[in-house]
Amino acid sequence: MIFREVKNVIRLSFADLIYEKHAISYNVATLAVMLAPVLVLFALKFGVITALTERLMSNPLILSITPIGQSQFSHEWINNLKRKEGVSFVSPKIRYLSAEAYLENNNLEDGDRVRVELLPTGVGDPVTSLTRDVFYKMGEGVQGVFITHSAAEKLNATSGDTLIYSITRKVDGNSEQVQLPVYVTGVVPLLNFERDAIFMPVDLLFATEDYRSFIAVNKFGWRGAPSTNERSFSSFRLYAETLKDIRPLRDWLETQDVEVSTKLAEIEVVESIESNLNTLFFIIGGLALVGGALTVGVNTWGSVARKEHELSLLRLLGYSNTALVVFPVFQAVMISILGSIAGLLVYLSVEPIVNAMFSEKLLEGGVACILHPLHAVYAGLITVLISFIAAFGASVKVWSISPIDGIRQD
Amino acid sequence: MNSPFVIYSIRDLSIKYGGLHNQFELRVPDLQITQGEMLALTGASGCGKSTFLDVLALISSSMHLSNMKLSFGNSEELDIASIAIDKMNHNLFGKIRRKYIGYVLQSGGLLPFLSVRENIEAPLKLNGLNKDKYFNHICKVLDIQKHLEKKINKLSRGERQRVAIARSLVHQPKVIIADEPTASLDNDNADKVMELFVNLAREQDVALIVASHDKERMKRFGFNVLRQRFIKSNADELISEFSRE
Repeated sequence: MIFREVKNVIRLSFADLIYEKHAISYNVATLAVMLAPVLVLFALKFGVITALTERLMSNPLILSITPIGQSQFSHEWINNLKRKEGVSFVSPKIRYLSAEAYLENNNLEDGDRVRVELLPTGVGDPVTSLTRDVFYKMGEGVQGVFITHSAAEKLNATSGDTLIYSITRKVDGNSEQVQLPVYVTGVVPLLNFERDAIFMPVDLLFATEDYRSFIAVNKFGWRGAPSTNERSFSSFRLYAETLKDIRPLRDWLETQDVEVSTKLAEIEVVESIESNLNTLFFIIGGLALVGGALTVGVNTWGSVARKEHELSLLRLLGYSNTALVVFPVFQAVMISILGSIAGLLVYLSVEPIVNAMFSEKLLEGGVACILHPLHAVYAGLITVLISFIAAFGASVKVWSISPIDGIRQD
Repeated sequence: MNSPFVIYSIRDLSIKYGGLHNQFELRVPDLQITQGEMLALTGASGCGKSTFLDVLALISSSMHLSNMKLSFGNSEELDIASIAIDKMNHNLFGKIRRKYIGYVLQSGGLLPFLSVRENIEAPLKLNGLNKDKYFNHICKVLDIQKHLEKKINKLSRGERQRVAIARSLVHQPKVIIADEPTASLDNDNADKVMELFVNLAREQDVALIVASHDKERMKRFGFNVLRQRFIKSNADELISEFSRE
């Protein structure tokens, strides 16, 4: 029975909404004008933080966690680190003394040899962006490697070139050298690594270390003694998955007595900007929320007072005051839905202007003001919910309306 | 043919309101209103006609003082005073009103945001009833068919009253209460509207209770007119009594 009553009240409330469309437009506009600046502010906050975060994330160095000094890490320990949550890439490094070699380009007549740092790479390495397919191809035929931009410039080499990889060792005071042709699979951008270096699969790296340690490397025919001890590693290359993963990983490594350096200071600058913008947004958004709720509450109260005659006539017809509470609440919810849509349209018309004003100057072409569809849905839902609560609170006035009021005013 | 049943059964009804020095009391010692009866409350302004109508329409704020029983032809008899003691029961009076009582106000009491059709249909929808032949019949008799899609503000006063009469009758209630239904009309229009009203009420065998300042017109249309008299009046207290003549 009450459902039929409520259904009828909604129908009547909707008819009144259409009848009073001019007054309703004013309320919708008020809500839209209140909501639009909050949306712009949120979109600015989101856009700026997203752009700054993306800029940080585009630099793999930001996600790197670098051990300070050398230590001894077992295979098991490195594997354990690989399995840690938040680890994007980890690869063991060899001793610093062994991690050096020469590269030369035979195509150059007066080509100097370039001394390069030796670093491991593998699938998922954010510095080389190495994919699984490319990784497997690196092992076919001539050994594939990545060289850094700086080394490539000095060697006048580019992707697809073949270079000569030379390593030396001292035997009884005399120098001994082996050479290996290597294929340049790719050149690491300057932003990702600044020094002269060669990124290679760990097999070649371990072979280099073995050669320097006078251990035989059968794969390349390098002479030496047979391998006896299990290999240990002096360091590792480690990259976190996201900015938020760096701190927990650093803390865990500290518990393992591994001192590391990170780029947390740079991240904390962005986090501090985000925190301040969040505070600003919550203050302004909170004020808008309170203002919006008060506006809806006062409008509903005023609407009930203005409609007292009609509502009392409905009471006279036999509607219960319980069902009639729905009359102003339904209108407030409809106004809040229309106000949210109008506020969003205002935002959408302002967004390109704000982006044109700020993006070029602040974010080097990035987008300063951006709103996800989900954000718009949340903003609408919050507006409707707050309107519903405020209108429901204000509609208690309906309870005191008597049918007599309608009769005496008629 | 069944004999008409008693709808209102009132005994020693006394409703007082006002302050210490200007108290007003409405008294109805004994009154029964039966199905199909046409009853008029007449008298000067301030004699308690509206107060009495409020009691009969179950909207008075002093319902708990009413010594009144109500029946609509079924076996159930409602003791209004005992129901009204609990304020939570006031929505029950709304349920009784929506089903059994139609109301016509001096200026129609129509909802401006609805069309004529929607205004007339309002009691049907509230009671979960469908529009039937009777809807078309009363619209035809009251000559409002051509106005059905209009908003109320497009109608003349006479047309509004005819729409209000249609709305009070459409769900075929047992009682229709009308408070000065023709007071806002000129004499010719008032007679036309009253004639249509009375004919439709007779057709439906509905009890028609009308408050009017025009005793002669009420008599002319065949209403039983209640006698109203001030039985005691002094500086501080005014008592108005309604009884059968």
